[in-house]
Amino acid sequence: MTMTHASTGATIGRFLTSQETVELARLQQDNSVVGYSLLGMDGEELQGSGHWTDMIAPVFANVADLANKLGEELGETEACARISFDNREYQVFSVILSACRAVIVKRKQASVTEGLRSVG
Amino acid sequence: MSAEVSVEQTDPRGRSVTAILDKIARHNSDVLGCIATDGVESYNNLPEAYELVDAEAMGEYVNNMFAVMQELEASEPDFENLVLEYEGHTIVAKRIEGGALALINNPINRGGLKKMQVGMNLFLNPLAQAMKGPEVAAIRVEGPEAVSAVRDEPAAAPKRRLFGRLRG
Repeated sequence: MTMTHASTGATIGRFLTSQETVELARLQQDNSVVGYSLLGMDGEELQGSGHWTDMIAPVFANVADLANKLGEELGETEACARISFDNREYQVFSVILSACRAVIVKRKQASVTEGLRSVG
Repeated sequence: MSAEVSVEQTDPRGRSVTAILDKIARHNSDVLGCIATDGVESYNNLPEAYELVDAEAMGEYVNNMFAVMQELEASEPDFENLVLEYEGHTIVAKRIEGGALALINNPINRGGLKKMQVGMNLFLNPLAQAMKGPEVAAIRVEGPEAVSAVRDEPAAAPKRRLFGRLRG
């Protein structure tokens, strides 16, 4: 997968702790992870792992806004810590990190085996 | 033609939407209350402690979250499950025809989450039937006009594929 970065490694470092950087690197080794995107707290894309991330950033920025409004209705004072969507093939989940939001797209295991079955 | 059409929304067995929401809440002790919306009407059985909450707006937020995600998935299967984890609550939602069902819960762990999602499935069909109640009745009463209105709906625009591009 071609890596395209909205931000250079040097500047993205400002938004991640060393532990978060290690976890992100580990995620990229996971074959079921299709890609990830790092969003600033205002929804701007800081870094993405593929050309599709320019779509996920504005979509998830809206999703996060809606999730936070929902939380406010319930009296939550903190932003929504974790958001997860899934369908038969994919799981898209978002986690708040120390200074940004990570959005990760993962292919489900069942979907992977289905692909193998179709060519086997 | 004149005929009486019941305004109370029920499934074919006569259960109302709120009765089904009550059943869902009783099914799992972590559930504090439920909100269901079909995009037009909103129903809830939130307890008194949540009387100041705007349940209709909450249903709309959940519905809009599923709608926004449509931008991503394009021709992939719809995203049908949503989980929102807050400090004091976990919201588990499912997409239903034209709308969404959201369960407001105490914070729940992974195991509890799977259990709840499977449990929710038991009630989706009766809930969808109950929410469709008046529409079904209207078609039955007005017959050809209602059927023609459905038939004349414009075809959905072709969708773009997003994740599919990554498979090559």
